[in-house]
Amino acid sequence: MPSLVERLRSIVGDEACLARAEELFVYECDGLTLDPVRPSAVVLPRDTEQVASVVRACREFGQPFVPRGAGTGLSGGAHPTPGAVIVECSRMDRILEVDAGNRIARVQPGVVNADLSVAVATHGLFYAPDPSSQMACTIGGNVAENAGGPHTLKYGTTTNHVLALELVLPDGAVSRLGSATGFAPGYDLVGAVVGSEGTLGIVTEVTVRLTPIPEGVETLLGIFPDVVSACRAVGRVIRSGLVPAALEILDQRTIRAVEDSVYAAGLPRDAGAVLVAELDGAACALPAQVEKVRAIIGEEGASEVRVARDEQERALFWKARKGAFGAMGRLAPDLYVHDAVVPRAVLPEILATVCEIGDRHGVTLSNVFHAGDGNLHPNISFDRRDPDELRRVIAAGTEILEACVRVGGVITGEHGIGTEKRDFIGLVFNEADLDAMKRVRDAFNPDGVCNPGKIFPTTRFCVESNPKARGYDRVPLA
Amino acid sequence: MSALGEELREALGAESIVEHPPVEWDGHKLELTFRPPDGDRLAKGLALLSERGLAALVRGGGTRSHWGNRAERADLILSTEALTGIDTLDTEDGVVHVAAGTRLDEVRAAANSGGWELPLDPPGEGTTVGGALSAAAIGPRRLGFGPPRDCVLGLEVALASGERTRCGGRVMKNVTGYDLAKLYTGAFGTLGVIERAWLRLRPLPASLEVRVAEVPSSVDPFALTLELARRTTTRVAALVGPGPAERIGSGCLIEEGWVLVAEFAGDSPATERDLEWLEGRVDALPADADVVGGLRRIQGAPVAPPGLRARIAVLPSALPETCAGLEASDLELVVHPGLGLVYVESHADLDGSLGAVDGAAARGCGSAMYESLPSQARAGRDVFGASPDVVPLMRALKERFDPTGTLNPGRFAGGL
Amino acid sequence: MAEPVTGLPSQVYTRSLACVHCGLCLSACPTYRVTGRETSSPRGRIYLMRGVAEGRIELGELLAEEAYLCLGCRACETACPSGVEFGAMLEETRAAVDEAGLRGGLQPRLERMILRQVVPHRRRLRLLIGLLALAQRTRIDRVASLLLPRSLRALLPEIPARADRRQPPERIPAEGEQRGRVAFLTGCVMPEIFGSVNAATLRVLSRNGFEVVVPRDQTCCGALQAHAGDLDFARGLARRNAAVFEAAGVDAIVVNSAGCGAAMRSAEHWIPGEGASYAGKVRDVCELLDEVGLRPLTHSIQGRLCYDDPCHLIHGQGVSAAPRRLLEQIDGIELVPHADASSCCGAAGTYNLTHREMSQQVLERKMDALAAADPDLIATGNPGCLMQLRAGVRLRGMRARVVHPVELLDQAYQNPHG
Repeated sequence: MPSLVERLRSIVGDEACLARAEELFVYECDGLTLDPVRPSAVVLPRDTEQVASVVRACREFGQPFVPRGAGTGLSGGAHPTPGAVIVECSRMDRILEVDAGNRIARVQPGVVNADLSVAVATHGLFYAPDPSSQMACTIGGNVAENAGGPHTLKYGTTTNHVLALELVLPDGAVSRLGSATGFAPGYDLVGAVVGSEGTLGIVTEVTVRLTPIPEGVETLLGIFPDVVSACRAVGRVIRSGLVPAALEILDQRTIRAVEDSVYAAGLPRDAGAVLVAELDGAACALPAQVEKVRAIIGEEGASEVRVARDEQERALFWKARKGAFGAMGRLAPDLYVHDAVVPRAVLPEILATVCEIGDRHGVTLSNVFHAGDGNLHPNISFDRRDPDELRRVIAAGTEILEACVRVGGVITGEHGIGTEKRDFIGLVFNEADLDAMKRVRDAFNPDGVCNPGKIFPTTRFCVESNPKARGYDRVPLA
Repeated sequence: MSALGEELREALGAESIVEHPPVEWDGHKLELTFRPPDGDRLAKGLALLSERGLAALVRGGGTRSHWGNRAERADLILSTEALTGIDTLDTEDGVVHVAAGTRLDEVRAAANSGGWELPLDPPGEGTTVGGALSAAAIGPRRLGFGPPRDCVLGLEVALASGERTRCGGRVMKNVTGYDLAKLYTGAFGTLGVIERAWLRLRPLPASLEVRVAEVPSSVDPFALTLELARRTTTRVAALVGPGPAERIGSGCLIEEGWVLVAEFAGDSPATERDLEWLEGRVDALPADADVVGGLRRIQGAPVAPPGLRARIAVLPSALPETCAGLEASDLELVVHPGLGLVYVESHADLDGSLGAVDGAAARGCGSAMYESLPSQARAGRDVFGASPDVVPLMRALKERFDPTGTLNPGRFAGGL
Repeated sequence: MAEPVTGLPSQVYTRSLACVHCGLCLSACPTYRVTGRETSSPRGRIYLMRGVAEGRIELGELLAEEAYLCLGCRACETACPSGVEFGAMLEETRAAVDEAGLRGGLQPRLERMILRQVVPHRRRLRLLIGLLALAQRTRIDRVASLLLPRSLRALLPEIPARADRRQPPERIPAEGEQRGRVAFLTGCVMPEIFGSVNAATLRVLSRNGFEVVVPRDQTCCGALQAHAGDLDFARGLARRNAAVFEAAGVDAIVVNSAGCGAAMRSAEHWIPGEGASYAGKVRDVCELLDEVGLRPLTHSIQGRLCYDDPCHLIHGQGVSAAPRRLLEQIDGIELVPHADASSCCGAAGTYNLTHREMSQQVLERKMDALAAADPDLIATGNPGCLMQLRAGVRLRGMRARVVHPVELLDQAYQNPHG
């Protein structure tokens, strides 16, 4: 009887199956470095058939399996459980078809998000969801997490751009869901799989909608004395009847980190906050919209409003924005990224609360977020080697989430629950709600072998009294 | 009152159960309607029905009772009409929280008064929020509004087991747990009964223009309308055949060919530019929004037997080929090239029409859904046209959400 | 706070702490793009280094492999928002890997011998090159090279005539009004194989008002040795050069080989303190000319030109716009962008000899992009890249001539063919 690794090698080839201890060490986590677990093997399949065979082999050996894209996820969605086999989709990176006339593309899951937009640019099209990690993250990973990005305010998240999927089900069968027409009969299975964090099967092909590159784009930069007044401006823009392409806020600490990095965009280091507002669409309608936004920003206390002069300057703003998360590495060795969403009307209050919580716990907190969607990213920089700091980071993070839920918000807008927030999901949903979700998981993945340990709580919900429930020392569910 | 009626009345309160003269529905004679006045009663009633193995036909405003496959079993009607009211209209944030039985026109009016627009426009006087979402019903503005699922931020749903559940929320972006709202939207009430919904509104457009035009024979109607559909402010871009052109009140009486109906919404410089673009290509006449209403109206009512109405979905590039076979027959067409949709209506020759519709869908490599079809033709047919490939997964879902087959048994795609 | 260090120098660990594992470096990494393996990505390699430093894994086989599978192109540094100094970490890790004896076999010893005993010694190197030239002239090489695989054969450069391998004078006066006094690094390979590039560089500098001194006792920059894990030897070379160039008392030290320039700038962390002033004076020739402004060119050159960034210029020294701005000033040149300009060509010092297969795969990507842009000329400012791209052009049968940017500037000043 061959071992599982031998079986996997016979499927994908020796070179495409990693099993040395140090190789497995590298795969113990994704973009979330907390709670690492080493897998038992990593396979790099090239096509659907290999994925299906790998899944069947894992079943035969009773081992769970975990799909993985570029491993840029921030909630531990690609973290293995002990013994799990990682199915790394990075080699399934072909764009299979671009149908510019119908504005659709069919791609393998390992295609890098930004590469797709580059590939279809000659047709005047782009792939709209643009997570900040788009230079590296894959379409398959985006599907799993229902990835968002700054431009979801106007264009929606991944789920609004996926028309059909090919899915290797957890029993190894291959299923095609949805329709390129956008009108698939029956349950919206594509809608269920997008954002299911890889727990319903392994996506092996994605048919996406492509969006025309807008005729005109204008990007404004409002320089504010503080983050709360920038939030007020966002609320007024939303109420004004405009639908901007993006409304993003960077606070002072973020501005300084970015300005220290290779993505420096000349943002004023002494500004309390910068609001990036982007308007796009018919060129003839933009001047009036720009004036409207400029007036609002000015009235809400911006000391200065800059308008990007050209595409180059615009690109600079966005590089600064998208490099912000990585730039936090300049503040401390570790970073805890939160991803709460609140009703947009309460942004000024919640930001004040978030900052107060950070100050009270004495943690290094910075905010860079999709203000137009009400999607906060309070980032806490820390050094995990300092146990007291770690404790305060966890306490502050928990309080922030609770405050967001209290005003009608949720605990994740685009990063997913994964392992990182599974013990917080009870803040938002009760057992009956979670039970309904489990019914879906059970329909696709009845024995839970596909990406186990994600989304659903593993511990009793007792975060407040027990900071260890963050996952450093988990209390198993009795 | 029947024994069942008495029992339900006892358990759920007199106001929840309405006894009425028999209503004929797919051959079932139904004398009871479960009409819960609140979510608690809805859940309690569902638990009771499940426990007793009874089947309920779920309805909102009753505007789409003619949709779906024939019900396998039916013991009573479940109506959400008493679950009404707008709980929250947040005009700062552009969201509304509304009970499922609330009529769309009520929500629309409330939203409009706050400067917002409800991006749902399905046909049917009295269509409710719950009904529109359950059926994923669309209207002529689907091009501009997007699919109904896009405006659903969160749902409260009562499951057949009697559990009241929530999914999603009221915020713009949310990946907290599975996106169950996508599954419930368009599930035809077969996975649970929507009790309340959080909907995302969009700003009212500053400018709205409607135009109708006869498409000259020198112009490729599909290419023209597809290009029109892809202008930035186009909200409706439909090609209407001679019969429907008259019925929607377009004012264009044609013997053959197409009438183009266009609606533009947005900031005025942009709508004006798109108007100019159109006027440079066809003789476009101003019309009022009634024409779009007419387009909606003719898609609402069931077609009297032996007539049928079907919606064919293909890729836009396949439209000319899809329609070529349909023009030859005596069928009335409304085409939305931007969406790849063809609405087909016929009033005679049921078999011939069925063959033409199925053939056209196959030619265009798409699918056909029959919205209105005489009872005898629905027997043994999946009017949704679900692919057999996905039926096992759909069945697995149905078995886990509604193991006793309490909700609309047999009426949905794949006979679920 | 205690900083655990096991088998790797402590600065590797300190540098690794800047990485927050965001992954933005992945798609910039040529070996990740070819393999799809996290282990062969910058993030993965940093994770391995940190793992060793924290004592979570041992300094072993995989890190030894990966430290050398890495091209050292430093594209990850350009992508990294957190400023991780990957190039430095790589050199330090390679040194530790070699120290630990994890690179077995004859090759590392032979390589070290050549890099220590031949390359930094002008006469020995000349002798070796002279032999190769003789072989080429007598066509013996054709017989010998038949034994080599095609990809390697294509790499062998044409050894120029002895006249082109002459040592430049010690001092070249400035033409016209003097704009500065600079020293010039001749390099070790450059004078032997790209002597004409050196000559062109000196002419262009002089034409632009620079007095150029060429210190006779300068030595090799240490780049090849450092990349090969012989950091100690490289430090020695850097110390000597620092002393020699400091003594020259110049405004800048001009380099026309991107690899050498990046290495000389690294002296800052190779020999902390003493290397700072020397490193601070280093300028790539294009960078310097762009800074002061090019004197008007006099001749036109017709053709489509692709500029290809040497990694050690764009990623190692942050210079990418300057050469483009210079080349654009040549009348008749149409600068055509190509998709893969900023990524490695696979030359990477001796990488194309030690990791031939990976080097070829990396080159393929580059050549696809270049072929799509269909240029008449390809310009790049580094000897290794010049050889690698010439090989790529030859293997593909493309018409493009591969040149150093300075050669084009030189031509546009005096049109030597006219």
